[in-house]
Amino acid sequence: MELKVVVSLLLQGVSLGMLYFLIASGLSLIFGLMGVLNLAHGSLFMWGAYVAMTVYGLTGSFALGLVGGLLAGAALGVVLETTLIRRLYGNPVGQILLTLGLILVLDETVKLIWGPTLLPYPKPAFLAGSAEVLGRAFPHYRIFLIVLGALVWLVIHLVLNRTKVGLIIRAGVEDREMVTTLGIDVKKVFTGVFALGGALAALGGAAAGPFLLVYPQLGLNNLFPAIIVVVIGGLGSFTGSVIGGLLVGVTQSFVGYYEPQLAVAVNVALMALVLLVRPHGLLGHRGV
Amino acid sequence: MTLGTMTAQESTGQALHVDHLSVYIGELHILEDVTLRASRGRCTALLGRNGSGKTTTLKSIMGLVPPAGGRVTFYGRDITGRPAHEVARLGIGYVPEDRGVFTGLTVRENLLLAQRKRDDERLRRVVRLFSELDPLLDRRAGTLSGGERQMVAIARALVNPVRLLLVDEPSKGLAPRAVRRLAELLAEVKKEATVLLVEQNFFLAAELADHCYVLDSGRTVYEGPMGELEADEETRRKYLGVA
Repeated sequence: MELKVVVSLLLQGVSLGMLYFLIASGLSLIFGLMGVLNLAHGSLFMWGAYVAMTVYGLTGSFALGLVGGLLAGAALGVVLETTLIRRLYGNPVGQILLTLGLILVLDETVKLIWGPTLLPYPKPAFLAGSAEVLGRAFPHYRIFLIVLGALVWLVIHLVLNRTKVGLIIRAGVEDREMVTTLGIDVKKVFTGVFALGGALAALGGAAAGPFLLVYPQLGLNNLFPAIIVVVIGGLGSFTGSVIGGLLVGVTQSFVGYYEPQLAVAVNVALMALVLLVRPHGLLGHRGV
Repeated sequence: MTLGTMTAQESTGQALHVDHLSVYIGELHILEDVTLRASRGRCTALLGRNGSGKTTTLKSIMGLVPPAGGRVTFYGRDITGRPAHEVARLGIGYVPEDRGVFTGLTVRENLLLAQRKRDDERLRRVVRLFSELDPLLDRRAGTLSGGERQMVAIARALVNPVRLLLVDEPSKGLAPRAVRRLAELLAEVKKEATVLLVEQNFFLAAELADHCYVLDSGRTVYEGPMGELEADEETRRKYLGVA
């Protein structure tokens, strides 16, 4: 294989991996801290895409669209946690049923507001072109996705490792009962982490919209890869979700180039392989 | 050591009153009608065999296990069934049986996490008291020995002004030398804070405690000064298996 093809596929995989990371990191943090597998997480991703597209359409500002999507995800996260999910802590079956139901409600609401058809979400002009990498065109938008993913990783990494809130989250993922005995109200932290998870997923959706297009099954179609990323990276591990996202993205990119029909199946095989070697995922049980 | 944990008014009288406390887990009766008092400035030991309800008593005081009946008052204030974070903010420190140290965090992060109001001077005093921790501050707690983890757990409970310290089986799993050092440290701590100590090691409890209660199958079966229990061989043998 030529070097330029390898580099091109690698960059393509990294950009896809960063998108997966944005969805999976929130899912992983929420599961790690609260023990909740939020199956409606993909729907927050989709809501981010729809809200961002609408705000972009109304204001003409792509950046405002991203912020709008992010805020919508955070707000939805707060509402869902405080009104519904909080009642079902410690009840995993109830959580699965509730979040499955939420997928239906959130997806149907999208159809009511925006209709059931695929909608265009144009790339902003400054991200519409391509750059040349080793003689092959590489879209600016994919470069934007890589930069956005890296920035989000850096910001959250700093928050987790340099602030008291981050310290509480890292400790809470390890032993939330002990955190409460130190005088910390974990319920408030739960709401905050749910908001953060929702915001990250929605930002992912807002950024993915011009790339994947916007349609009512967008969330469901991306939930499965996100769960694979979380399992590979290790439940509760933020850094694990970066590594898992990149592994899944790059693998999918290379396999898809040669055998497109195996592009999704290979991720399941990758997950099985990782679990055989490390049953808790790559960075599971190592903290956030 | 001066941690300034007790005010002059708090140095005498009663800190904690557990009154007819009952706890069920499902259909199972874990505690039945347990009554105990922890006097201000004293160390009170809670003794008993495995499964007698000692840990549940501490967890129930701390708000981690909801009581089915009875009352817990702390300096006259009813704290029965209050959530753990509220109980902790009243000045109750808790050192659980498994230490509860966050292994993924460094020793320094464990201490900073616990400190509700930034107080570097207090942190320095705590580290001075637990001098072995000083060179370990930037080590991940997961790499520490059992004795060092126990020190982190107790030090962490002292980084805030603490009026009552609940300590659950601190000597469990420790080497004899570490138990000796632990005894020295707890002797220092009890000069400054009221201590309720759950301990299987009778001799350690006898060294530290002024007063004691013995639990058996979730009920209080003995109460008295520690010295009296030391002299009461029959009770020791019957409920603690210690000659």
